[in-house]
Amino acid sequence: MDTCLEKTLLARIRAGDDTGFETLVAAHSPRLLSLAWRLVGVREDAEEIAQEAFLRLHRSIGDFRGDSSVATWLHRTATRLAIDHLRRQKLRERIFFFRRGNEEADPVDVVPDPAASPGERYFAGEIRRQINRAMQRLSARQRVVFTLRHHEEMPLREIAALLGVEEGTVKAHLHRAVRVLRRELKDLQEESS
Amino acid sequence: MNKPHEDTLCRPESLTLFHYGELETADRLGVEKHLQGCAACRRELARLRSTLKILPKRAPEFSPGEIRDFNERVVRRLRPRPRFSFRPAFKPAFGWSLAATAATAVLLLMVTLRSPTPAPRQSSPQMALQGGAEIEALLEPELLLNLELLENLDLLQELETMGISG
Repeated sequence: MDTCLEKTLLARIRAGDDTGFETLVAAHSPRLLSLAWRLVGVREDAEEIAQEAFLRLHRSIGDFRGDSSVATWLHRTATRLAIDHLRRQKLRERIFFFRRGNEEADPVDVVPDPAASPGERYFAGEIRRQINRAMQRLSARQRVVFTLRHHEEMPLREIAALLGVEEGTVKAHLHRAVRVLRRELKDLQEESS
Repeated sequence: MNKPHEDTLCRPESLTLFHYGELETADRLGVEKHLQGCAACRRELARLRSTLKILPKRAPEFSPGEIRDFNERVVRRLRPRPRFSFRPAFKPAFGWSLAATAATAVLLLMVTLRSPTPAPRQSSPQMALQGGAEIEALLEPELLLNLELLENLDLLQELETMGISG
């Protein structure tokens, strides 16, 4: 969104005009929903996270100084919410010996390729399940750093700024994430090579 | 023979960062040079890339209708904010406690004003004790509340007498 337009909208919202906020939501929700879905892997959870990020923005709009863009602010908030969510989820799994079902479809592949044969679809589904299982093996931070770098193609320096940690820490998380994924996806790697 | 993980340039971490283009220029050039002469590291890098290739890069997307529904849900959740933002935030709990304190103070003042001034004939030690006990009793919040209820009852009775109360 254009910086000037964003400033105008912020001024309108501060003056009590919530239609300005509706415009902000409409402008940022597609990207934010997509990011949240990629980060947590579950559509409903992603919607909750994106919604909470917008509500927090609305609550703190009076204090929003504009040091960063609204998009950056929303992405930072959603990423932190996603980390908290993934941590809570891992804790629940540990406490109740509960593991989330591996049947959940990957967000990217919910719509099967119509040109694929039944065998190919089955194989694609099996790959998705293995990838989901592998992603669930990552810690919350590893998953977020990997997703932001690999899927969102965000530079590590920006990820470090987003998470408020050193760049070296982000590098270590990325490397560990890749190591875990390689171990978990060893079978697929051998089949594909 | 050059084995991966032994050379500092071809540590697995360096290969990961090399793949993502996250090495500093000098380190990147060093790894590139090393890879030219190290078949093991080239194989390692190829395996790394083949794994990462499996992971889809395409971003998930919501349909326009789903996004519209989501936007409407967010807007519905917005709370109406106070129009006059210059007013300090007035927390309900604080407001209630302030109101209760004010009511108690008014009640105390009313009771104090209504109480008869001590006459010379009431200055016996027994009466003085009784007066002290009354003041002590008034300072107790529960008794004050009861007193307030009694006053309300009196008011209600007065209204009933006047035929106002239903």
